Amino acid sequence: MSSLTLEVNGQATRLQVDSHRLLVEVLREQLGLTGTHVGCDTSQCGACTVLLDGAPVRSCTLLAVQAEGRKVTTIEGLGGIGAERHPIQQAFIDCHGLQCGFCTPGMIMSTAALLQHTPNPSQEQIEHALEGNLCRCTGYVNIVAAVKQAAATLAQGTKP
Amino acid sequence: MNTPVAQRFGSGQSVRRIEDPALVAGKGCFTDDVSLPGQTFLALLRSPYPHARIVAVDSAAALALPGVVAVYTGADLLRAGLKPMASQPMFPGPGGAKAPQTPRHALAVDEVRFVGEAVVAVVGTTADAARAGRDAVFVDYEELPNVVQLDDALADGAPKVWADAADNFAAEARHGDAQACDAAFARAAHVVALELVNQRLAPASLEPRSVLGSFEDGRVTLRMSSQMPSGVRDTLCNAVFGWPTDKLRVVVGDVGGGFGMKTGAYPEDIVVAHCTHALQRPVKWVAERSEEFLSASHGRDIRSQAELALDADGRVLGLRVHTQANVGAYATATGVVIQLLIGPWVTTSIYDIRTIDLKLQAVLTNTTPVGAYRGAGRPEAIYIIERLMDAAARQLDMDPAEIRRRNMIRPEQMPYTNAMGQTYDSGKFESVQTQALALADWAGFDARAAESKQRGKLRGRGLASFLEWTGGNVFEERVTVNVSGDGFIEVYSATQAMGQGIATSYAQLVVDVFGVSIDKVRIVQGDTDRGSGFGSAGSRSIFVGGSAIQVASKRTVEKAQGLAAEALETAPQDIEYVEGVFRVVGTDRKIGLFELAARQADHQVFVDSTSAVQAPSWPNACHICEVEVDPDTGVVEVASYASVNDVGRAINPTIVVGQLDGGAVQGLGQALCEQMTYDRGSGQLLSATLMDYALPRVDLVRSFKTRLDQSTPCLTNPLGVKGVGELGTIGATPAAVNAVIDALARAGAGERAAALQMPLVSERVWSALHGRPA
Amino acid sequence: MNPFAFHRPASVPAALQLHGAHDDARYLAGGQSLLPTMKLGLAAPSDLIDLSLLPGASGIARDGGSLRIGAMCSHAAVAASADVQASLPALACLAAGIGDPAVRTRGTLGGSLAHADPAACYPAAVLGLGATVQTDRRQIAADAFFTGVYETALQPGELITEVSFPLPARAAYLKFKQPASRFAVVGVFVSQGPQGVRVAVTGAGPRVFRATAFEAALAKDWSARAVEGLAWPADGLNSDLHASAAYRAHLIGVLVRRAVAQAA
Repeated sequence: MSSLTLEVNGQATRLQVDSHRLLVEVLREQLGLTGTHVGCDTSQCGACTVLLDGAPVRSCTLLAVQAEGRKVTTIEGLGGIGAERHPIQQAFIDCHGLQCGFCTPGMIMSTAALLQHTPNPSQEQIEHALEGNLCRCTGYVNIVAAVKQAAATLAQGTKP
Repeated sequence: MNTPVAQRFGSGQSVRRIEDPALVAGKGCFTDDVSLPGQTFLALLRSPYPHARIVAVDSAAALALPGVVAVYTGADLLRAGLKPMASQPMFPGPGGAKAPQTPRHALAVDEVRFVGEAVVAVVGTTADAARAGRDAVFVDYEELPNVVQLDDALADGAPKVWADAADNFAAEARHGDAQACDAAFARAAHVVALELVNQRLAPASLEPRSVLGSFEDGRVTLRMSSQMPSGVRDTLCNAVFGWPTDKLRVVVGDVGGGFGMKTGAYPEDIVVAHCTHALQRPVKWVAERSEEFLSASHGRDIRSQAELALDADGRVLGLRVHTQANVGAYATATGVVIQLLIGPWVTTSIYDIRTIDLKLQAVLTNTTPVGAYRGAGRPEAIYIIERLMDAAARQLDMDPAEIRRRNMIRPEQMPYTNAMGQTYDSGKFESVQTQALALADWAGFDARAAESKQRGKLRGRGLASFLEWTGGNVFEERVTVNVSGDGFIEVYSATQAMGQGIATSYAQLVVDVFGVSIDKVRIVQGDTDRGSGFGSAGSRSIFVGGSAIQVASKRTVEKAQGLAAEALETAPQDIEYVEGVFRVVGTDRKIGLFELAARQADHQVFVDSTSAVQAPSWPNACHICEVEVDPDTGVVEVASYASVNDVGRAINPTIVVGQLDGGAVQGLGQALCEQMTYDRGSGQLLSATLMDYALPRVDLVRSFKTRLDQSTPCLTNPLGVKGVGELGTIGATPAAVNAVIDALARAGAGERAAALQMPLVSERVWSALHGRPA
Repeated sequence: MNPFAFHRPASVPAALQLHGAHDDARYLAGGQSLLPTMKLGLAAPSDLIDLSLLPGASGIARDGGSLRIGAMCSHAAVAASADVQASLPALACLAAGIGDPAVRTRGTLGGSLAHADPAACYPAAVLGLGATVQTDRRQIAADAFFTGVYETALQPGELITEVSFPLPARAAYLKFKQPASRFAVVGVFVSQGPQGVRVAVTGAGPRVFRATAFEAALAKDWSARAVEGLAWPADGLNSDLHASAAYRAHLIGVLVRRAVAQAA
């Protein structure tokens, strides 16, 4: 066990973790942030996607200790319910971009990363950004529509 | 009800889903999101062999490890009185002989029959401890000969999966009239014959199976990711443990996709229940993805010799199909009935084909048992007839739409009873196809093909016109409606959400009847203490479950109307109900719905209602796919996809389209990239991770043109709805395959293309195009 | 995953010392290859030595006719680098196509080369450009670096610090992806530069290799035409669930032609 200090969703956080614990395990089990999901064991499905200093990472393929001193943002940190909802989350609702919701937090976090550096993404850029996020329910088209709507909303400056 | 509220939030509107706010915020409640104090973890040691005798199990080293709480073997469960799950009861063996029994123990007893079969259960205080314990158990196996492929299972002298199953046949069914069919073929002007493989698939919901057992008040509660909580409870209580059904409660929160794979009870469910009961502490099991590939039920896996007899004008005289279904190591009730009966129900589809000869055989192999997967028998059946139709069109040099049109059942033939005795209530098949041809700009194909050619691509088009059977054969549903004096209406349904948005659609139906705003409606599911039912499968939730909710809601308004009459001291017929208010007609004496409820002795107006729809619904559609093939590599890309779908009535059109398009992508996955492959010889599953099992990704389809035809409501349920959950999957596979064959045929490789089997991966397509051995 | 001791050295000598001190230590760069291997139980090191604090390991710099890229540069950093895009766009493109965005955030050049997956992309670039791998103790030429299936010329404990890519006149990389893993079924890197013509092929064989017959033809005439009708033999190529050796051989020809046309 060693001490880990990092920022999670804007909050300074200090934890005792075993070095072999994955970030996703620490988020879900020690911090109770169960919005980040585990969907596979070969680092491919993207359901565990969070932001590390704003960049998308697979929290299942990162040791918690590798996040020492870094900023982690999970779906809970992006936005919440009602007035706290983020435009990306709203766009997914508006465009029917989710069905069972299991892949959704990962999709939304990948979208957040994309729109941060590519505020007006083309179809190709959206596909490139989401190629590491699997969805079995929606067939993806509404997810892409949601990303486009979110981009438009954010461009209007509705929310920083 | 045509009130302003109903117009905005009632059925027919694309109301935003009430499920979504929590899910997009990461505040869903999937089974693994819940943890209980004192929780232990279950790890399962699984067979590394496809077929072996269990000689001995040594768990001493495991038990000595810190954190290991208990170890159970199949023998332990037998000693504790658990019974195995019975094999299919419905069909005889080959030639009418008694069907072999393939009882399935939760943990293998004496013999393992597929790689991944659960053998030993280890419970630990942490997941790490459980896994360490699992790795420390030593099982002494004596390997036995195995068969994983159909041909090998059926070969002379093949190793037997079960001693009692001669030639590895589990069950057989024949339908139709062989003699009449032979006569039809004898007089036919044309005969089309195809060998068709419908390959084994992994349903691969993103959320793996998860079960959390807990022990309270002397009984076990299982929280699990399941489509059929009552079914799981009943199987475990009645068939396995011998418990009264009130001794087990099954609760379901959010389910991350089911697709049929999460229907029915699994060995793992039984193991968790047993461990929980024995240890009287919470036990959690969450499948790892590779574990899920190995032990969650697989889909499809049939091989068919299919023949169509036609007259000179392209009218079908007879249909003959001989199918062998690889059902895996156990002849489960679901796996067998899907191929032997349910698929056959729709084999003649929308066509007026009176003469059939169907022979279906379930074959055992040392592979994971096959179960329901989106469509469950109907994709296999529709694939056969739609491939035959296209092959016939090619052979007779007819337009593929025209040959179908000539054979379609006409609206004036409704209700139509098909050769399998199934009665379709409604359907305008030609109209649906005509609309789809226009939507897809079928007539403009040549111009697009020329443009594709300029970019060096071969373009092809394929269509599938078809219907499907829905309902799961269970038409009754029980619903409770509770109008609470606290200002909300709570409806309990034993159908089960798994992503298909039924809570929203149900709420819309409640709004229709009650005229209250949708935020006052709560839809509750997933608790066997609250109610039992068949659950969600076979696209039954809206047309059966929703109809029951509408009936129950109306009964509740009627009951409340009587209570309002008492409260307002008048006769019920003098009361009118509008948007939440009971009013004495022609006066301003009124009482609000919730106010009325608050006045009742138990602060509510409660109705427990059971009702039934009359019959399956028969959704039908025409799906048209255009593909581009890269002749240098064989890569297939979907260039366009259009469909017209007779869904009867759409309660929430956006949700319905989402089901069709999401389902279509699964169907395209089967056509183009998915395959579960076992290694002949070693019997190992080669496609056991996402590194080797290719699921569709975001770049598979860019857009869909999806139209809902609501002109032909279903006549056998009060909503007029036809179930849509599986329709898209069923249509996409043949539409895409027909398109690829068309592309290759236009390039002169039609014969080789017709011999292609799915998935149409690039090497197979390239080999067919260039005449190389695949 | 089995437990291990986790170290975070602040210098190369400290990293080397730690590696030498523990029998079963592994270096951890981005972890996108090592961690999945450990999760599957295929590797269980006693010690992990995290390289993320090593100074100067993430730089990208022009150096005369070469581009020097630090071993700890992420794929995302290489893809986004203005220097790489300007002077070696084929490499930026290659990096942008590795895995997916999450893999690219963490995966590193050094990690990829040390792991030497037979279907990885970077080995094709290193071999296809005739790059030089700089370690803590020597320089290793590309032609000597990749020695077998997941095998390199690196000695135990030897640490890659940077890679120097000679800038070509033109270059391109094309990858035919395995539909599930999206690794290269075949990946081809072609270049024409100070080292002449080089054609490196990944994914097709047990390790990345140079397609010398194609190189010879292209050296005479840099055009797709020059390699038309040239067939690479299937012998010795990989055959698996996703592609036969014969199909891989065919794809090599297709990708070389397309890469040459793209690199023009």
